[in-house]
Amino acid sequence: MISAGVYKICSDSIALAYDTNSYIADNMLSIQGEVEEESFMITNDNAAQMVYKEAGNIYVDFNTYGNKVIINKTVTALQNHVLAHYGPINDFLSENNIKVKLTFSTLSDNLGYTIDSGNIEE
Amino acid sequence: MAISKDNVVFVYRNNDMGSSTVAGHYSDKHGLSPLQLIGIDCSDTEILPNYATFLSEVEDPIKNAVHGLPFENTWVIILGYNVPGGFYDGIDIISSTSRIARMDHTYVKGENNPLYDRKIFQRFGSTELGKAYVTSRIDGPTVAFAKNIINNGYAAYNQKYCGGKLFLDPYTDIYIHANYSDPYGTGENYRDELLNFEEIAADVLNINICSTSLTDPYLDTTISKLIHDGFYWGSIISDGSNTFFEETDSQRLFFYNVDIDSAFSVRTISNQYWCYLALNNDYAACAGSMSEASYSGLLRPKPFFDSLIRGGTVGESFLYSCPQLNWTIAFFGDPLVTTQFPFKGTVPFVRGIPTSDVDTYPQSYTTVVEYDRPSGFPNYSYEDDVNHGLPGNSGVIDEGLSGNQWQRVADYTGEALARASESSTDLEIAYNAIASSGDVATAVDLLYKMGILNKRFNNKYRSATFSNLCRGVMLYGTQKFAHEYQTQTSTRIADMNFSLTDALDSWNVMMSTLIMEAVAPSIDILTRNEQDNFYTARQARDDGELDIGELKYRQPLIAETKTTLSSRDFYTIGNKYSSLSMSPVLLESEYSDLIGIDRINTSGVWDFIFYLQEEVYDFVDYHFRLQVSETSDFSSILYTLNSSEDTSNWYYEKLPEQYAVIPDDGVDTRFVGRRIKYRETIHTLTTGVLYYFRISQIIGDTVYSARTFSKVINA
Repeated sequence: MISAGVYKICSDSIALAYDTNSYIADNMLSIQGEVEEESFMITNDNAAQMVYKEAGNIYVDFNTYGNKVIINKTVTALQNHVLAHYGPINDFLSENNIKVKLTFSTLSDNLGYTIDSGNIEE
Repeated sequence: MAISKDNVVFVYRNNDMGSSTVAGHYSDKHGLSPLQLIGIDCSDTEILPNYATFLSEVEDPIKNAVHGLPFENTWVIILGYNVPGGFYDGIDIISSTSRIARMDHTYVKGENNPLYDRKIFQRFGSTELGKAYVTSRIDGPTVAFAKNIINNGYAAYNQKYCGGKLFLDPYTDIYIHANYSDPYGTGENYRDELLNFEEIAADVLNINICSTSLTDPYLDTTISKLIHDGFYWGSIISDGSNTFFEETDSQRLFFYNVDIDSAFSVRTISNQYWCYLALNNDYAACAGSMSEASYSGLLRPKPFFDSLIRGGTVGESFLYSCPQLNWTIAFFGDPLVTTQFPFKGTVPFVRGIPTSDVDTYPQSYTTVVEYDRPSGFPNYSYEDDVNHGLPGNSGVIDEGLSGNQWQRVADYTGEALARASESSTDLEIAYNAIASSGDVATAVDLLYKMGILNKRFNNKYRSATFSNLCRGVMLYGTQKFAHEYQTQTSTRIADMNFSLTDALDSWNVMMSTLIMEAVAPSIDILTRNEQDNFYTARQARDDGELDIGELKYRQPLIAETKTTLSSRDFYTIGNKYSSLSMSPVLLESEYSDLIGIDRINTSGVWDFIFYLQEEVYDFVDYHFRLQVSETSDFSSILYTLNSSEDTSNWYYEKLPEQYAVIPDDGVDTRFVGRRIKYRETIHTLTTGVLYYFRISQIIGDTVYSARTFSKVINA
């Protein structure tokens, strides 16, 4: 059975990974926005186009199904492990005084594992 | 919306036929509505005995009338014929125009003008109205005299072009006259300001300038008469005469003589008062002191002409160049007059006096930056400051904007890398915690899934994902600089040989180490095959050519024979590696040649840049408090940095894109809209961690509401 400490480390790192995913995707869009304004980008085959294209590739990489599926599967594995070896997730959290990050609670809730507000960091 | 006749009210004296006649004349010329003519019950005394009398006779009636109008766009108040022109306050005479400009504020003699010489130019509008009105006086010894002022103003108003000379007189009496000294400066300092203005005026205004020069320190050099004049800015202390004004074939626009009584009276026919003489000789507008103004109160030519160049009316240009209000300087004439100069546009007319204390240190480490200027300001740029919004100035290299634009692209990239790095570290800790937990069920259920997630963010994956982008960002900087250089100098790109260092040096910006690491990752994170390729390439370099024949490519390597790589070299090498699907390894020599080490950020240092915003409608000095926290609610504050306690590392944008250390007194109102920078080198922050920054502006003991930003440290 997972310890409270390891659960907290895992849930926090998953939350950070998800936030990072979104953050990187947003940054890539911002880069495209900056480069789009370059007038010489239109006429020349140059590094501006290279930046634009690569930022788009990374955006797709971080914002599409693949990464999210991996994150969701990790959340599912973690919560199923608790359910299988301990019981209700909220009991596990409250009895071990674990407060998860809001991002993790949202991910968990979307997958059907609702976390009570008392077990979420303020 | 710029000032127009719709913003004007004309004040006349009730039951005074001459006064109403002059008001009617102005109204006829400009097409004012009857509501724009305000009659007040006041005496016809030119200088009232005290402020209380002025308040009851002039100020309160005007204020009540203006605020009672059915429209709220009254920006300009003209005091007409026989309306009192000032009042005594001790030994000083306060001009009506100066007091009425601040009539919505408590009377404080000689207070600093919050609209004086603002470093971000803005035409007068509703934002400025809360601080001061544009005011003027149209008066004289006779009705005909006052009507002639209006006629001259109207002629200038319609001419819209300046053909006359500027007579500038830095050396006459002010050089030796001690009366202008105050704790902030002397007549000699003022002379230096005029000389400084003269240095750039000829190129900026592109009109003929007649100036005095110093031939003998014991002899005055003076302008003996004005011929073909459009402007006069001088300092003759002795009486004048009408013969001083000879013929001119162009409209006379503005006259200002630095003395102690130019504007004492315009109703007295006397050679003693230069404002009277100027108006009598067809100047459309003029200014002068009703009593001694001192150094701090004198008009300044640079903000005056800067405003005129940018399309400001002569009335608002006067207001912008007048350091103090509720003071003795008076303005006469039609405030709506504008003019245009035959702009040549080769020399920047920077809003600020160039000095040696500006700093040109690199723009950015990890920079927390407020990108948008405060609302209400026009989009400001260095280019605007150079061009004045006028066409025909194509030879200016816009260094600041280009650098900022590239810096943002590099920052977004560096931040993404930093966040990925932080996430990678956390996931690795989680993976290792599961692996070392000793619980079989935990390992069976979670280790594989966490391992996959970990791989998505680890160093190898990150490097592979971001390497092309980072290489593109670096190449983009070089090409962007080369392109701009070509555009601005008509040099063929083929004849140029720039490196990224050239671009960063020119823009004075820096690049994150993370970008460099992604382009040239550590050899030990490569696969064995990639390592082999690397060693093959390095051997090829040592042999004088890049021999990677098994990958179907051979080409002499140029890195060994050059100290820097050109953009084309870099592009060639970058594409070669990219097209070969090879790990983006640059040879070690290229790594160091591509960008100078002094343009790579030092780990953990950071900048914070924000715009000075206006908190009050007075002229004040601002200090700043910056707080740094790891939590968004600032429940735990890592650092509190207060410029009023220590100005070290605090800078303000004294000139566009150039920073100077914040003075001990703080940064004054004129710099609202310019940037403030805090540069931290001691309280370093951890790379990859998200921090929150909170900045508050301070006036005296009052701390104003904070603005909050967040940023991942990306170096």
